[in-house]
Amino acid sequence: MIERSKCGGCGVCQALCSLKRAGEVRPGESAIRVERYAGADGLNVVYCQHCADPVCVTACLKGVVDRGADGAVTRREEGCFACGACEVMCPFGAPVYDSVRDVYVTCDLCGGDPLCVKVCPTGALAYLEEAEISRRFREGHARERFGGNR
Amino acid sequence: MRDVSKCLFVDLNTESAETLSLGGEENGFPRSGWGFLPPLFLCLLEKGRPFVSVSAGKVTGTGAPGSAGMTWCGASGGVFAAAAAEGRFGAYLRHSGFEHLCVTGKAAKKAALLIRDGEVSVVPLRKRREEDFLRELRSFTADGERVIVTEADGALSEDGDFPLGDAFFAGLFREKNLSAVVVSGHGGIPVADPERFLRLCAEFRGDCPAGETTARPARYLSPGGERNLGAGRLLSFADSREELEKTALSLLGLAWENYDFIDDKLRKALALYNAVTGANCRETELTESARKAARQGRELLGKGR
Repeated sequence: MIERSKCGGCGVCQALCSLKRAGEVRPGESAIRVERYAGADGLNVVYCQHCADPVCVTACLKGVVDRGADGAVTRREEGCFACGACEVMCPFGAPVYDSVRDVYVTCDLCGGDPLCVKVCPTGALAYLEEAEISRRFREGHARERFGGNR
Repeated sequence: MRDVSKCLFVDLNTESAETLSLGGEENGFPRSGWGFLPPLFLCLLEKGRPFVSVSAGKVTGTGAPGSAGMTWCGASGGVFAAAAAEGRFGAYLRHSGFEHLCVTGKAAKKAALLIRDGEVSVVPLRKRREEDFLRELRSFTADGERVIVTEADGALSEDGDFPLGDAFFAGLFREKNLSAVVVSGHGGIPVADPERFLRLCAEFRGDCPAGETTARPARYLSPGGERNLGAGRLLSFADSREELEKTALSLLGLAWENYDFIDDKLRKALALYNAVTGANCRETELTESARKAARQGRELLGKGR
């Protein structure tokens, strides 16, 4: 998950994710992307949410996208013919075209030890259990609505 | 060690651009960043041609902590100056296929230099109000895929918000009728040993304090939580240990000089440089390279007077 208030859009997650995946720094093809809009004022961090009911799984024409027992959405490169259906259907626009391997890719959580979390300089990124994410979200919402620490 | 970097040389008088490949072997000394350019600067100075240049280092934009460094150099009216700065501009210059940009001449009317994935054009600007002007520049490329450096009110800024260079460099832009440089690129920045590089990044990140940001988009690839992008800091090219360290960091593209929490900077910087280039340079070689660059820098300062 990402705590958006802590993210300054430095882009280190993006640069190093692409390096790990592609062997060179190619931020536009990273599985996590800091998207700037309206000039310098706005930013959005795009990455796979590993949805409970992922639309990319049903959208994939070749059936190479799947959701494992651990909740992580995974994809096999073999068979992907880069039709882009997953990207079109994903509500977050998370899948990205990898021009070197000619396939679409998304965050694979680095096998359970995400690099982006390790290198984020502000601690905005965290890798947590679903229940903990839900708890933090509810707490944050309550704080925003009612004030105070809880 | 063979090291080559590409310089985009733009002449605004003729609106022409050419690419120069710079490189060479030098007793294993690491050559990076503006270290390639002093002969070109000297030639321009001797011909009395004012210029402004920006150089990224071999580590610029790689994602290492503080790898947002770039160096501005310029000369006009008999004055030469160089300054280390940080921002996204250097990284995007590399994504567009170049490590250096050198601009000479003067555009006939207010213009912007547009660099898109290696293609260069000089675009006349029609808008007068700053807001409209920025909107026009943004229309040239897609959001989130470019950096715009503008000259306004005697200062250079990146994406309209962040300081990038001091009044001298802004003056050079104005003198050339160059209102902005827009850089957009999708190319990769090569890293020779990604595994070693990622390990070093994670290790060095541990040295840096985490903190919340105050503005967005804040620092680019920079460690430390409290600062935004820093404006240019003039390089004196003095021969002291501290100044040599600054020169060495500016050659590699690391904006570390203000980060006191990073100890043993040269050793760490060299480890990153070696991982990025696949070289096996030693600290003495980096120091010697910085000493040579500083000597050339002093010579340029002297010529400029």
